[in-house]
Amino acid sequence: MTLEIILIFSSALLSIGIFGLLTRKNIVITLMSLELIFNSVVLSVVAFNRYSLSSSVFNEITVDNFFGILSGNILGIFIICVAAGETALALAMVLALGKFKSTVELSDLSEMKN
Amino acid sequence: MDNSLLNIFIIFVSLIGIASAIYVVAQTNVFRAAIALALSFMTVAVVFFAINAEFLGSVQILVYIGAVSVLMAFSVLLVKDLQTASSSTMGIKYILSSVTSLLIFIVLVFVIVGTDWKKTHEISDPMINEILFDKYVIDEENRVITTVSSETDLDEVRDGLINDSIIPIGSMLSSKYFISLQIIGLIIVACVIGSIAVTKNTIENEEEGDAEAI
Amino acid sequence: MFEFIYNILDFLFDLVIKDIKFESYILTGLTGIIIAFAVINGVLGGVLALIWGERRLLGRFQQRTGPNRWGPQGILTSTADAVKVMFKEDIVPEEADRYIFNVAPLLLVIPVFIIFSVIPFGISLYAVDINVSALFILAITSISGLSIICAAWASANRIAIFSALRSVAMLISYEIPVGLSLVGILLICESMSVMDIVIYQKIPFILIQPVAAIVFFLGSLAEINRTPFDLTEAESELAAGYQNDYSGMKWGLFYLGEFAAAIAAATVFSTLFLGGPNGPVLPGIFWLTIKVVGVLFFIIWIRASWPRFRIDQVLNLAWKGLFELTLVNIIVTSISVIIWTDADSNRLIFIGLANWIFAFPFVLLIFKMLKTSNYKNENKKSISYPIGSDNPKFIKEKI
Repeated sequence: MTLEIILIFSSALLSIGIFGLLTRKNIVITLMSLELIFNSVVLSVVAFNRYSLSSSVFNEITVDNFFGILSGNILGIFIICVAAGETALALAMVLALGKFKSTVELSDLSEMKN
Repeated sequence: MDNSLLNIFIIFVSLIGIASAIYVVAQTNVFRAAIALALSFMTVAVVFFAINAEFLGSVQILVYIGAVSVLMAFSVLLVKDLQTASSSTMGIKYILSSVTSLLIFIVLVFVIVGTDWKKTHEISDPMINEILFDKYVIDEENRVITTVSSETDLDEVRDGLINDSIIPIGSMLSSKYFISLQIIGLIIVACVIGSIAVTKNTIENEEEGDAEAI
Repeated sequence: MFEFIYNILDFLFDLVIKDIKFESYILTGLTGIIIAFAVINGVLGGVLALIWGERRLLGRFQQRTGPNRWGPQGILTSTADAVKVMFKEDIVPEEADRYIFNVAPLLLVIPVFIIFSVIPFGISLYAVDINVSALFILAITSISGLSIICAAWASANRIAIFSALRSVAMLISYEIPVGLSLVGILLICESMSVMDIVIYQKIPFILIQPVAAIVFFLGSLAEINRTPFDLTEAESELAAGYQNDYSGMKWGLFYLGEFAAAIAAATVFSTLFLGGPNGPVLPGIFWLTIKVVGVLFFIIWIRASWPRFRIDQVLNLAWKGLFELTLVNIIVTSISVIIWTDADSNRLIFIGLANWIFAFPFVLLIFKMLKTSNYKNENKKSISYPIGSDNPKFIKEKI
């Protein structure tokens, strides 16, 4: 039951993030929706690791694979690190863009069209 | 039920998180959207603390609220054109994207409620359940793990892997996922160098008077 | 402590009412409320004492009496201050963003009180024992950067925005040395939990890891915006920086948050480096209070004697000075942890000796390298010139 509640929360965040990504024209709000999507992914990975674990992951429990039980947390750490680094780079590009162009709306920035 | 209090708490926190996420997406004032995004991150961190993933919850607070939200707010302050976002009018894009996201949400909810989570991933080995919550002992010479259910006076008895959740994370990060850790370090170095390289020309082209103020 | 209060409440409930339906939930909630009430009120009492203590001590350092008007020796000064602040008019500027204006002081004050839930006040006097307490404390202190940006943005004031940008740059720069200086302690104790660190300290860690203690202390001073790092408020220069447009109880909350943050920094330092509630005869909470008061005296002493740093000196110190010291400390400590493993009984003494011999000379080296010389005319391309230098831009023509 707890797993289902957390997964519904995560899918709600995912759909709101997709809506924001497709609709908004401002760059920073688009980046914020992308962060929401990353968050929902991390939440579902950790919830699955905590609440459903099958022993076919380990064929038998030995000392070597004993500590792999909480590997969902490790995947969450990697996702958070990569998402934060990518956000920093994207915002640096927004800063550089703001000096050269007069607008920062996404629909006015398409130069490769036609 | 065993954890009905936990369920009520997670439902309450999820509602706050969903409300602030809708506020982020629908707001025209960009700064308020950044603050609402920080609130949404905080609710996700609270859910992490409730699932006994405390290390990941602390990392979420440290990285997302301490750094990413501050970065978003900084960029709103420094670039003049970003400060008011135009609200989108009722065009065809608005209707199509809202229908798409609603459909995704409904399909996912049906899948989640419809599957029987206990049957697909059953914890068929009762030893895993005991190791997660009861005390365990590792015998290094004979390479054997035993669970200790009664109170014996062993010095090395640990309280269950969920209570000391930092031990599996640390040992796996340094043995099995070590290469991934180093590659993450390289990715972050690349991001830092890239962001400095992108914004380098804009600083050199300014007058000296502008840079003196900051 | 949780079970102790829970059992008392259970006993009292059984005397009065029998068999409510959700009894365990009600008792759990009540126990939590009582513990939180006790901890927060203790900290608030400490803040009142600190306000009086700081102004009195600053007066004595500057060879004058401090406030001595209200109450014997001026003890009721902080009460008078609080009453005055509560009755002032609450002004919100017209161009300000109203909701963010109200939220900014709360974002500064609330994380400070969360820190006190994790610190042990005695043998079994703690609120919560997480197994990653040290990282949790570090994470909670990083929320205060957001509140400074909120305050600056909501004031819609150019000076406030400049001071907030410098302050946030300082805050993010100093989080890294503060976090990395704890790695040496975590290597020795093999646990991230503050309870384990306190139990492990037969000898206080300030003698075993001097470099980490210096870096942590200076970094905490920067995190709480205190002299010599208080270039954001700069009370003699900028008139209040990002707090410029706040009045009444909202400014009172900023003031309270600053002093509570000072107490929190002193408590964390004395728990991690000075041994916390360890001590021979008295109960643990007395020893913790004595150590916190000692560290606070040291902080006020620094405020009374050192001048203020400039922003480029502050950032140089963070990135070129303290960061390298933490890396040196990690290298030396990890090598000594491998050599003297858990089997030795005098392990702490050997690790401490190795640290003093190999890591402490780097402190002297770096503080000698970072001394800024007098500004000469050679560096024509540097971006910021101080006022009154030899730069031809600032020399007026003599008529």
